[in-house]
Amino acid sequence: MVSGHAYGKSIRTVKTCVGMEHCRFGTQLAMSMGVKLEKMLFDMYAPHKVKLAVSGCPRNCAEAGIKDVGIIGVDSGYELYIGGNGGIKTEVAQFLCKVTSDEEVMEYSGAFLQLYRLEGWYLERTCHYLERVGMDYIKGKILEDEEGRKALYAALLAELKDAKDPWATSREPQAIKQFIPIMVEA
Amino acid sequence: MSKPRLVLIGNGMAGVRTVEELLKIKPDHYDITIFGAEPHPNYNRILLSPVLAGEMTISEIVLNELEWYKEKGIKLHTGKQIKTIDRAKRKVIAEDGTEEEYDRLLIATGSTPFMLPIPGNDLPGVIGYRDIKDTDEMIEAAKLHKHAVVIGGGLLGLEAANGLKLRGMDVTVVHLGPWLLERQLDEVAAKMLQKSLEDKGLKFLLQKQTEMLVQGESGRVAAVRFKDGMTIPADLVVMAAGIRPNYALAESSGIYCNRGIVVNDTMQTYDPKVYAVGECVTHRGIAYGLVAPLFEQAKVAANHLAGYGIGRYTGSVTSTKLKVTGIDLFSAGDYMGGEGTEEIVLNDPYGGVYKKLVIKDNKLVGGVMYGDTADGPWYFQLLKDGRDIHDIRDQLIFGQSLVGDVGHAGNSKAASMPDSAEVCGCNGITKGVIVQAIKAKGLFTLDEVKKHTKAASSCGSCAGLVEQILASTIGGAYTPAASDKKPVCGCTEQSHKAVREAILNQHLITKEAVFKALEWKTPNGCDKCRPAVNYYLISTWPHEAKDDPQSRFINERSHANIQKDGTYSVVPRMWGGLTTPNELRAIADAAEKYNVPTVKSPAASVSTCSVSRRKTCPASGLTSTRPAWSQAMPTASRFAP
Amino acid sequence: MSNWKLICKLEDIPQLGSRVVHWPERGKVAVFRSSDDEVFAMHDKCPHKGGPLSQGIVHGKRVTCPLHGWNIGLDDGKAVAPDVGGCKTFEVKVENGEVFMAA
Repeated sequence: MVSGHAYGKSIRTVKTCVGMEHCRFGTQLAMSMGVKLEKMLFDMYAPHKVKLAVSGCPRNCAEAGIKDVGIIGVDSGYELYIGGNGGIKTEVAQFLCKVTSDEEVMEYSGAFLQLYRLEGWYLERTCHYLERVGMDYIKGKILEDEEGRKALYAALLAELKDAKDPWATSREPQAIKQFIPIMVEA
Repeated sequence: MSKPRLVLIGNGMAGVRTVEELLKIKPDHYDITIFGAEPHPNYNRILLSPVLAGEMTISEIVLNELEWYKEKGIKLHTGKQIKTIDRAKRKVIAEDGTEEEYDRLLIATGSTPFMLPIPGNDLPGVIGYRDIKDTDEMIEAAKLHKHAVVIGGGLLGLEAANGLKLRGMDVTVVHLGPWLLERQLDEVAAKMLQKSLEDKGLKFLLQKQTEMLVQGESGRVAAVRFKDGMTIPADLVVMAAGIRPNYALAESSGIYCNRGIVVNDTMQTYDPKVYAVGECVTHRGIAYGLVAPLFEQAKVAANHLAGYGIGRYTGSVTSTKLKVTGIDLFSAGDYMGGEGTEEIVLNDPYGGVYKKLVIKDNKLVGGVMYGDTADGPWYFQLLKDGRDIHDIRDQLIFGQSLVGDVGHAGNSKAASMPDSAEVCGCNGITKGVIVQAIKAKGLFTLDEVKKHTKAASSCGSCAGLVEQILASTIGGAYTPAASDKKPVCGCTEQSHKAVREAILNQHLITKEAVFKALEWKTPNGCDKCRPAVNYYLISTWPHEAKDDPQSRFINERSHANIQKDGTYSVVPRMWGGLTTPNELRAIADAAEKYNVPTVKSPAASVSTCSVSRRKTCPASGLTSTRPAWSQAMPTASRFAP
Repeated sequence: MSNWKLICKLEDIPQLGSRVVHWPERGKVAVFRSSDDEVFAMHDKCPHKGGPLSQGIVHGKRVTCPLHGWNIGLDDGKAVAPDVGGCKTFEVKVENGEVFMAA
């Protein structure tokens, strides 16, 4: 098993419901969508932690309304919400757009997160970033500028293509040494 | 070679603040001499009102003790008024003949209360309200006399009236304008304020023009007579009808003045060797009478005195707060509105709440709040940032969506909260502790309050409330920086935005390059700026900048989470929250191998699985406080099914 | 004078980092290295809640405790104001690239 990155400014486990895979109400494959997003964003370094959720239907068992990026499956596709937060001060995510395919979910979410990575201030969660720049600005960059969106998405993928598991022994062997105590004889 | 000499005329808040800022950025640059006309060290003039009200003592409001001057090697002349500035010989001469030469001169002579030009304005018992002497005189008068009349219903006048009332006098406030505080409030808010002050026992005479002050048999003032013939008794008359900048000294030395000492954006006068700050100054035609702008000026002046030549003062948007205990009032910017502006108003006269926001071109340009001022700082920040508010317009009037309701029991009215009320739930800090620290330690910024009290330093949800308490304690001295101008930390004046831009535009790829290019004040930053800079470098130049592990918080360096006893927990990834019997078995094996007593799936919102490690790794011969990473790796490899 | 004990090589401590030394009578001692290769040693125990200072971020002549962010002076072991408290420090020296601690 690889690192869950529960400690960093990084992607947390994507919360999913059981989705259309099992649920009698499910309209989309929430679990597989979640896994795809998580694999895409593995080892991403961001201004702060990033939480995602995918629900298979509007009952929203995965609580996508309080996530940095929340995805809610509907009959005709997915609704994307951004800038939610379930922390110190609960912040309901705002509706960004509706898309129809899994590929679009990846592209729009990825582009938004790349924008946040490039413009967010350190320790600024997406809800604070969103409050600072305004939803209109985000919509302009992600919805109205197709070329820009694709470029952001491509940049994110390029950066994450060599993502490595930080727990893999091969990574930073030098850095391990500093944690080994030095024993002094009595 | 000897150091250049800096002489400061005026031992008050603006001048001494400039010296403090200067010492912070260039400690040993000048030999400094300070002249003060008052016999006291620098004190917090803003807090004279609480002193008058009996809530504080003079010793509590001293900002710089005499030891401070000594420690900093500053030569201090108190009780000495400067008579002449000889610019040709570059020296100043005091009334008692004391002379000091200067290479740079800083004038911060402040202002004086405006005494109405009416008969009787020089009678005993008629005073302005400016300094410790005036305050003492009022306190003495309250012991001996009954009737006080305060002329002027502005901030200072109301605070004086409130103080005198609390000292047992019968107080009437006389005001020429149509409503109180017309420079801070609109009519609705002013009427609500007047009502609550009347409930406290103050009397008001509005739209009254004073004709003369009548002398009594004892020689002391005895009555106030108005143009309409009405006369009321007065044993004490406090003139609070405005202030006038003190620029006579500068003007007599030939420095260009126009209703104040005229300065440019670097706080320099027409004589390049002479700088001026504070209430004695007019900048772009405006003379400020509140402390917040003066502090901004002080920062700029210090920077130029230090020879750095960066930073300009471009004027201030001010906010005000009335320091009358129990009254919550906040106003900022253009609160009156008018042509080209729109207003959002919430008016609940019965509940005692009134809020008005003035909007222009989708931006907040001003506001007045009465009764519930918890969101004042937030509005003020939006105003200073010039943030486009049209997407939050529908909720704007309700404040930062109930921001004040987390962690402090829904308290949102700073001034009316009792001292025992808890403000910061995380650190158990009460309002009383915060107010005490602000007063005793002379704190002026949210950061200082955080540092000294720990309030708002953990989860931060009470920051708005703490700011509000700060504002209500120090009044106009409080000012937040525009958020894209807030420095990253104490190591630099640069904001997050500026750092990001510099990294991008100057193609900086190491932290050392950033610190050098942006003139960091510390050799290698601190725990606040280093992680930020490291992130900006990597996110801006992904395949060029190298990660610096020593700039990472321990969790990121060890790839595990430090817990309160110094042990670590590790969280293996379960993609999408899914796992398999094999993976669960691997976790169970690892947990057994290292005697891990508890395996927890953390916050439901994360729906993943964590292995908590306790002080239990005897078999491996490793100790518990050693970060788990070096163990997490063998452990993690064991997680591989 | 003092009896010096060899701890490690200077290069074994990362710049702006630290190592933990297990010293039988002293318990855990954190040894820090600054950016200009000065070395400092003190108990690996924050005066606040006992956090392991060795795991903190080192900057200038200070270390920030990883638990609650107290700053501790490396040279005097004292908490930086307004916090109060202190850690016991130990004498260290660097000679020919090797780090020694006073016994």
